[in-house]
Amino acid sequence: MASELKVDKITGVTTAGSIDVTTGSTTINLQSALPSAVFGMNLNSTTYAGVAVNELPSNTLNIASGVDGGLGLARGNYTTNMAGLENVYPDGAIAANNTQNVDIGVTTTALLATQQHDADSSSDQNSYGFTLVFGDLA
Amino acid sequence: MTSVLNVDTIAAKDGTSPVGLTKQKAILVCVGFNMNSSTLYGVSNNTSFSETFNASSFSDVGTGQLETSLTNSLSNKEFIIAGMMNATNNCITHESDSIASVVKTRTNDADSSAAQDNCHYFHVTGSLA
Repeated sequence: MASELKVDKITGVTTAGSIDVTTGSTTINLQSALPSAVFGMNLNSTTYAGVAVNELPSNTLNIASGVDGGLGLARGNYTTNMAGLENVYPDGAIAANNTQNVDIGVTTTALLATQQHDADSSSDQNSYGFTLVFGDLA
Repeated sequence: MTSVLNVDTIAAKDGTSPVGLTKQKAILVCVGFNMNSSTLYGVSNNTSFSETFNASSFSDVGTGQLETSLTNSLSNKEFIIAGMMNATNNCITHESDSIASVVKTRTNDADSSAAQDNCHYFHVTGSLA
């Protein structure tokens, strides 16, 4: 019989922030499989997917505000800080042949800093990019 | 009334199926698709990777250009997408005309700037319709 559990909050017993979920014949840690922050910011003067210049898309997570740090420098202030800097940061950018990378020298536990580049010319540019953050919250 | 459930392990009723989440940003789409003429990781040309989920079909619409139709559509176009492609010095990007039910990606050779048929790896988070 199918069942549905309806709650507002789930907390681990042994460790409050650690819950295992079953997948196949093994388990994985639920929190490790979910991004702790989801960031997107459009620095370009063109509106993309309804997101205007210097705006953040509606689907960000744990980002209190965005900051235009200069040419190609999209930055997000975390709502809840990260516990450390040894996080994983997969990135994306709009087409074509562009990149967004984490700016690891500027990023702190309170600030996610990224750089946007045009891969054709290797130059900084204002674009629309995305970064996920996988790691523990403070 | 709010409630708190204290548990160490959660599983679907059958013990193996994924648990649905609300008000959390889970990965909603995960795609691996090989547009390269060579077989890569055992995946032949114009075939999706077995670990792909929430993708119903794929369209090769041009060199390096992939359109992924979703099994369950997203709620809007303001989703967050991150991706990768196979080496070396190649680039995958998000087309600016994706819609909530079709995610469009493009791959280029960053050396020559030319569009290139290669592996598209990406995942999407946001909200489902």
